[in-house]
Amino acid sequence: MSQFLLFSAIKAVAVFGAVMTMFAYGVLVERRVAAFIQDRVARTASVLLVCYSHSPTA
Amino acid sequence: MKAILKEDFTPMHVRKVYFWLAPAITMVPAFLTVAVIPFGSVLGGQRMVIADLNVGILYSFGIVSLGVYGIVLAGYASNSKYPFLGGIRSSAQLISYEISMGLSVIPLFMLVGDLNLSSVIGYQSSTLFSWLIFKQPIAFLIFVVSAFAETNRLPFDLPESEQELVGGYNTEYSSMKFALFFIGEYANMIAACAMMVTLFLGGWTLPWFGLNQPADTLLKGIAHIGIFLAKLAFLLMFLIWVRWMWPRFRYDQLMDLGWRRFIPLALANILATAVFLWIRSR
Repeated sequence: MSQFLLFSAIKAVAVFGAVMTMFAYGVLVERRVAAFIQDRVARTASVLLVCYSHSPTA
Repeated sequence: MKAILKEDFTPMHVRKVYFWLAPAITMVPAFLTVAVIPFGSVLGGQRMVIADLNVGILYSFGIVSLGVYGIVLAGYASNSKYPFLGGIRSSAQLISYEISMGLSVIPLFMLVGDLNLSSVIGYQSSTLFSWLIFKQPIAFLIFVVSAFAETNRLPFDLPESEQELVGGYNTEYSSMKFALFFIGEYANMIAACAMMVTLFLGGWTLPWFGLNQPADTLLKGIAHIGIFLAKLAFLLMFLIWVRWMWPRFRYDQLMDLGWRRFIPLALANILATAVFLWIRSR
């Protein structure tokens, strides 16, 4: 019985951790790509884009 | 971290007990739904599901329907007009689409003959075309669209539409209480995608390389979890992709789609499946 509870608790913690990780990265990806589509990239990304657009290969 | 460190501000005019209770009621059911979904086969002698209930799908729908109380309570407890309108919109929307979502999965269980989600995966494990997305495409379509409405996502995010209702039911919330609503929304999305993977995309199985049978080695057990997560990530990206691309529906269009199109379509699908099973049994 105690082993069943232990394994159930481990599985619950693992699933909770996975959901929270997916939540965090899901929000990040959603906002980053939405910003990219709407031409309002973050400062760091905009610097990179400017560098890329001025590079000889671009 | 940002949400935790912000000031937890409670406006003077709110109904305090309900105001504090609402975010928790929104978040907890979303996590409880995941408990019955098998996310792998066997790993180290343990079945990869937290609770393998015989009535898994009924449990899921029962718990999902509790989520609406949190949003309605937030609208009521905020004691101001925009959250109130958001709460009313939400209750109408969630209740409407719960019906079509519930009706859409009935043909699946008529085919499988069991309400246990592990049995549903077992039914789909033999070949690629055993996946219920191929056998019940109409059910999948209704389920996907209803999932958007149930999770308050674009194009159906009318309960929190910024241009009309400021933020809807969560207008008066800040700090960690707002984050709980936010986590609840995403946990609902993940739960809906996990349910779609289980019901329509074969769950943790893959019909190649012997990956459609419960794992007998540690590596296969890990591979099954990986397969489940990959399918889940694909559907999650689809939900996010729709938000990038689609504008918001009008409220009458939302109700029209739910009541006048999906419910009759779902009922017709049940009837067609019943007739098919009756003919096959003769």
